[in-house]
Amino acid sequence: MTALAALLILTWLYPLVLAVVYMVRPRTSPWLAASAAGPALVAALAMPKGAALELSWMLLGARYGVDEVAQTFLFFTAVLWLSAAIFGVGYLAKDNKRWRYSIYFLLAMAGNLGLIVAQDMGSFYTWYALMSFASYGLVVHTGDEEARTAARVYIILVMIGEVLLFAGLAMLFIASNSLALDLAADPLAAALIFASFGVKAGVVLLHVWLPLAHPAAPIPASAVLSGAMIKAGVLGWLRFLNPVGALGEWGGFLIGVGLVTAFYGALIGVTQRNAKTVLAYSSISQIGLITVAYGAWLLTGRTDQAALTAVLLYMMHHGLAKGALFLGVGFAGVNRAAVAALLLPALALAGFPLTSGAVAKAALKAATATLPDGWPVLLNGLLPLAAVGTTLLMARFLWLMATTAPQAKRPPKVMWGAWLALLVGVAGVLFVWPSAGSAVRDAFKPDSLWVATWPVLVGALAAAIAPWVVRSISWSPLPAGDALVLYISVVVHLSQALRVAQNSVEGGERRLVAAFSAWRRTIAAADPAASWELRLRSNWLLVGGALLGLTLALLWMVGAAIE
Amino acid sequence: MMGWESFLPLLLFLSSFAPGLVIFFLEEEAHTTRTVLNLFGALLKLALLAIMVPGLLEGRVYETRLPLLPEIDLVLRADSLSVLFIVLSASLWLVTTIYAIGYLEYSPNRSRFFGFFSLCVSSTMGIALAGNPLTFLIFYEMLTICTYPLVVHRGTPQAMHGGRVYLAYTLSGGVVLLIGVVSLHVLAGPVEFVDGGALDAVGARSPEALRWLFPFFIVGLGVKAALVPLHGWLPRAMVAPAPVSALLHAVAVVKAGAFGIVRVVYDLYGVNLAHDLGLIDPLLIAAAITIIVGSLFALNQDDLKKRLAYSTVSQVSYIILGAATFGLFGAIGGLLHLVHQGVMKITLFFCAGNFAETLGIHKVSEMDGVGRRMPLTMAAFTIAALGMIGIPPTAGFISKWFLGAGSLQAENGWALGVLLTSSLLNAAYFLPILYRGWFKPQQGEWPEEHLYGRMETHWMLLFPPAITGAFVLLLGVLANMPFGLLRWVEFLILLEYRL
Repeated sequence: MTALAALLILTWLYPLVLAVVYMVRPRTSPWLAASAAGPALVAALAMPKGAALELSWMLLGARYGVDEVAQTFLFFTAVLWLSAAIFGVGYLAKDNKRWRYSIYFLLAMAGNLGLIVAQDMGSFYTWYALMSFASYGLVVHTGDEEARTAARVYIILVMIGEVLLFAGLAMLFIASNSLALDLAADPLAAALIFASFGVKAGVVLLHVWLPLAHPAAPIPASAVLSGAMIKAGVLGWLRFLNPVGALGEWGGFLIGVGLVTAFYGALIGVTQRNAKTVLAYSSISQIGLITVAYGAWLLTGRTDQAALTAVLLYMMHHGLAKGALFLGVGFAGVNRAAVAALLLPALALAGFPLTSGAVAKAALKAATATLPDGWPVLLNGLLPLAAVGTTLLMARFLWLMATTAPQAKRPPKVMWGAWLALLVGVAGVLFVWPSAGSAVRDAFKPDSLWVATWPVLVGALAAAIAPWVVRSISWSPLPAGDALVLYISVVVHLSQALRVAQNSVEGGERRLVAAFSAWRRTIAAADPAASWELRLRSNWLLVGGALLGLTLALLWMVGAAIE
Repeated sequence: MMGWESFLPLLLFLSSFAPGLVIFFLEEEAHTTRTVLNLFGALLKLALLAIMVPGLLEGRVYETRLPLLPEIDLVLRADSLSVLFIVLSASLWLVTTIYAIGYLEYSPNRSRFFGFFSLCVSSTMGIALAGNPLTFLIFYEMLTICTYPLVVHRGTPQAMHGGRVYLAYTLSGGVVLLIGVVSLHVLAGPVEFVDGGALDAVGARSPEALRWLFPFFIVGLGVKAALVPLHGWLPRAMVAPAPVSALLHAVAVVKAGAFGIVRVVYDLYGVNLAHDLGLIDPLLIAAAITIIVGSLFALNQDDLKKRLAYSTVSQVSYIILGAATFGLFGAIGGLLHLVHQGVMKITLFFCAGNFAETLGIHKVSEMDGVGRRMPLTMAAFTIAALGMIGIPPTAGFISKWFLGAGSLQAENGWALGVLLTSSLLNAAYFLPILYRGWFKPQQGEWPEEHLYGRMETHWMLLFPPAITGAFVLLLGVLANMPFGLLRWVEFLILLEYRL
């Protein structure tokens, strides 16, 4: 086996093996887990595009490989897992359930990295499931009421997503008669796959689990949930639904969905009172923008590089920035400098000049510029408004961070190390990433500087006057998960109806059996002396009668049939 | 074919029948002899299989033929379908024997138990090997009789009641099957099971009669296969000791019914004829209803074994759904599930037995925090439960994948919907158990705790679920390996579809 093939396998095998090590030896040093994403990072940087490996004995026949998409995903995903793992060494140092956390963390990591390099349906679905189910352990970790509710909602939506994906993939498999990661040609299959990954990504109406689950998890887990794992949904879109597939014609629809998601997330998000919930809504909002980029790519009708690059750059930018924001929550109430440093990823999300956000937005603008009809005009008008929304969200977040009650505890040094390293990544990576070259140049053009600046200024201004406005009107925030309330009431009614139906059916059968035995007993009790005879007769009457009746019926039927 | 090889199927039957008979006459305390006999029988069976499988791959047929009635022989024939079922039962029997020895170590009536236990497996062998409907019927009834003492083993009023209901259901089913077999004989003369179906000529002559007979076979077999609404005995038979439930659900009774239906569809009628006669669509609908209703009933059961029982009702019908789906993928999925469901369900029952024996836990609501006390058992339970839902990379995913793809291939998209609804329901009744076991803290004392030194439970109780649990994973992860189960099933299905 070549070194490249080994590296490809180690990407997911190494965290998997570490998970087993922790299962068997709970006292293993937490630093071992911190190294788990190492092979993936090396693979992202060193693996030539096009490397592939066939493991035909595995699952339904497995294929692994690295292409352009996988490389970008592998890089920012590995960076996030790596920094979250190191951060976790410090953050969970005094947690008595750290052992359990490490296992689920490593399993989820193996799933997330595995699905990126998987090149066949069976493997992709497997790693995707491992990631989704293992994350349950992260969401429920703290074990309080909030976490339990969040985890329940989360797992239900995971199951729904799994089932939709299964149906979509099965349709794809039957249509193409192959397990290759292929394009969905059938509109229904495409819709199922889109919805399934939409649950993971957090597209509006399918997003309800996200504002509950991301804040409930411990901070490093939130960072990877929001930074890396929801992107797996977008990866799913890219893998199965591209411009030449059935969904190509839906590009416009997806841009609409993305815009609604972007504004919806910002609107609900600013009303939240928990810093992590605000970040979760910001993730929804940002996924909306990524959906816009993705829809634009579909709308081009060809596997256009510019639009795909925009999606990938946006992904990387948001992944790193959101990871840094979440990890930053670990310093709330502890250190004012840390809160100030959060300005960097916050401004990046808002797309302020000289940040990764500006580069990502420039790429998005370049991708949408060539769209037909009125799309460029519409998007040029609406996207800056989305940036205003993001600025408001970030202002809200920073406000909540700055007003957190001071705490006496001092975060361990490893937390600082991991976080600062990630901040450096946020500041620098997009400017040196090879495929970002033209986007970086665009971002420095004077007119784009202005386009990137004014929404932030407007947003900041709005945030500054917001307290006065809010004080003058009475309002109460929507609960995290917003539309969830509606879904729950539907489910409750359904399950009540089900229980009633079930009791009546089951009770009916039980009464039937009981009546039969009671009848037998009364016959036996009526005349104890002759009971054996009667009992025999009562049974034989039934059995014999049934037998006779059936035989006669059958003879008649056979006779009729032969004639 | 003559010579000693023609006695191999008979030996396969006798390898558990003879030890069973001897065990009846053993003293209660003859622990070692009984164990040696049991294990000897189980291992001998596996050795016989090791001789036969290579021959089968070369296309040889092993057949024992004894005169029984005028025109009708007692035929024991090892073809590829029977060997699939036998490999499953023989391996799981070995594990279950070990488990049962550990489970019933100090309880009364062990000789009676193990005697009937062996007879029960012999009947299953007979069912698997039966080469014609009458032979099948004989062993099918023998199974009913041999299982009764196992179900009522504890002798409590509840057990006696469960046993009575069991007999009432299964004997009635047997009568219906008898009518079917006799009428078929009247109609078609002596018929034997043949790959691809034996009734083509009759089908051409009197299709109406065959159409009328089909329900008799299905109802007769459907009682044991627990097709809704013939499933009422199964949840009541839960009073049996855990190893019995494990065997009942994974290889013996329920599986015998499902296997019978597969036999009737593939080797009696032939899937092409059954399809042409329009018989498999109603069967598909019956299976679909069973899958959903079984899962719905499982939702609200607090008794762990009862929940598992209803889950069996649902899962066994996956096999029938596969058999009733016209097309290669569905057929492959059904037969894969015949094996996969057995391995997964036996694991779940082993684990349920471990919880009951070690901690006195019988209810789902008592399982809080059990993962910390019994991590290995709970891990095996988790893997098997995820398999039941169909989560990759477990065995359950592989069969669900083929069943789902098969439904689409046969243009029965709604059947895929049924499978996926069932997956959601399975998740709804299995995941809460996993949540309680792993994430909830223990509530007070365990109902009835036994300590076993450093192990979480007796090793004879621990190893069987650990082994079968590992197989649930391996059958999934290594599904596509050469000489694997999938290859065998593909080979078999091509024969049945005459391709």
